[in-house]
Amino acid sequence: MSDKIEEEITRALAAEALAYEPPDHLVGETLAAAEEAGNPGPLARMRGWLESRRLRRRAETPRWAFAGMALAILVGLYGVGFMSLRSGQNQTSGDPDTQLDARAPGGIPEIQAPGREPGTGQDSVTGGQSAPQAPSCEGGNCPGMIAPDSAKSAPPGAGVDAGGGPDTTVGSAGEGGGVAPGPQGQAQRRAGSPPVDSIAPGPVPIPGPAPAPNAAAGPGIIRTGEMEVRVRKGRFEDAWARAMNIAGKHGGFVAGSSADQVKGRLSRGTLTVRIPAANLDAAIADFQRLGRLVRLTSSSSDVSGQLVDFDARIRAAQARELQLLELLRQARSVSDSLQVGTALSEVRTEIESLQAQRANLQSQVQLAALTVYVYEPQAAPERPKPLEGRLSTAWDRALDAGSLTLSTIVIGAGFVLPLVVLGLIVWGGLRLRRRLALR
Amino acid sequence: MPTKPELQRLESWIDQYQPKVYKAACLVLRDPVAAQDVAQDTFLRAWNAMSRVEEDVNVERWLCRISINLCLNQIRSRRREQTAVDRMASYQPPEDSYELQATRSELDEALRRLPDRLRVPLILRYYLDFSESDIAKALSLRTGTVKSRLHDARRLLANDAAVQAAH
Repeated sequence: MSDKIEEEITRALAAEALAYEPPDHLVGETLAAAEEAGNPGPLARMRGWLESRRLRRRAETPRWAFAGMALAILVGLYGVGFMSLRSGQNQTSGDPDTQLDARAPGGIPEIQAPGREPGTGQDSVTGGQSAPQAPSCEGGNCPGMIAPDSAKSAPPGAGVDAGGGPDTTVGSAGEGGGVAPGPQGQAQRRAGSPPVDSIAPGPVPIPGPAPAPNAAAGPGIIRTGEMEVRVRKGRFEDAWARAMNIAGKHGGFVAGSSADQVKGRLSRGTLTVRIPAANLDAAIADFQRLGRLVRLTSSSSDVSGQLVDFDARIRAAQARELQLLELLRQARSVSDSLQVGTALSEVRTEIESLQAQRANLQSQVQLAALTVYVYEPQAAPERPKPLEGRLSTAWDRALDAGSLTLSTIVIGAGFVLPLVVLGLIVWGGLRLRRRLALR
Repeated sequence: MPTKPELQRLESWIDQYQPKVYKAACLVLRDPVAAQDVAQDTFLRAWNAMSRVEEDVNVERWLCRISINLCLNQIRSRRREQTAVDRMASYQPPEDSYELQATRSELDEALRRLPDRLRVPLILRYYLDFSESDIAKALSLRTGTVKSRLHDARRLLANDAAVQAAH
């Protein structure tokens, strides 16, 4: 029945169409219109091309094409999310040169000028108290510190010698007396020069040589270490007390400590110490004698390039400062003086910032960081077997990577979603309008 | 200026396909005058795209689709004009000639009475031999909607008492 009706419909339409014959003049008029239109413009060509593309005789879109499109969309979303994350990290991250030492949970140890009373540090957890002590500067200079005022008698424009001798320092401006470079200046510094953090910016900065690198650690090497020591049962507290003194014995200090109870008794603890790099090996040997050494790892990071860079930037800033001072002396009007004064203030701020960053980096070079885990046998940390450890680590990393990828895609989708919604609304409205027109 | 080969190509298209395009437009619009405009505009658009038409394009199908789009534009513009001028007025196709009326069957009459939303897919399917997916693309509908409308159109025509009496 349905075939018959379809045949009838086809016949009826053909019969109706037969009654409509195109007029003879239609062909000529169409050709004339085409000639008159001339060559179509680019927009018209593009429109025609798009129409022909839609009708292009081709097979239905294979499934793999849809899969490819979906993959391309995901990759696109991931890319958008990745760029977003990267731009966010660039905005929030600070100068990497000022990163704190992560192994010193108490923060940057207080750098003190000679003659200053040591301050008190903070311990991270109850169960162990220690006061971080200032590094001992007896018997030698304290290259981890920034010298206070450098000598006013130093020649203007003197550069900072990055690889200079033990008496080289970076001068920071300060009133109340400069400090001459060389041994004389070193003695002055020990005699009670104002501490670094109390130096106020002054109008007459004189650049001085850069601080000397630590001979034992090399030109600029940051050393870190981690060790596990197992003590006999019941001997933790005694070992812990001895461990607390080892850092001071070698010219260092305890940056942080924590001790835990197991079954109602203190039996394991973690100690983080900062020790002059030259004495690190000796300190490690002393820690080993607390009990049985279970694990020891150490690493080094060469930051000499960064130190050189800091020195160069400080020299350049100090040279600019001298030029501005000269301009200030020659200024004849109040407005000129104000302008030069403002620029001078900015340069001074930059110099002090660079000096502080360099000092921080230098302190990390001078003072190695060592983390010591001390524990009794029954309080030992659970250790995975080597293979299990690797697989476990790989699995954790895979999960982290997967979650990061998914979150990146979600972030990308967040960027695109409002546009997609808007597009769908517009498209839906157009379709609805077409359908209503056909009803 | 257009090149001679391009004009010759257009002329061959016109000779080959314009009658069918014109007839399809007449079936849809039921207005020979409007159908002439559609037939002419169809080939002008094809002329604009000629240089970029790919080799494997079905030219006849392509031209028919262009003409259907132009017909739909005409229908929409008619409806807008009717709505703006007089909501109560309805479009009446021009009277056919006496000869045409005499030969028209009941099915033909039923076809003429079909609403545009059912008639146009029917014309595309049974006169221009479009597939259901092609009809869906041409009318911006889902394929399921096209199938549904074709089914409704056939059912309406089949239920017509004159058609049943003829069978």
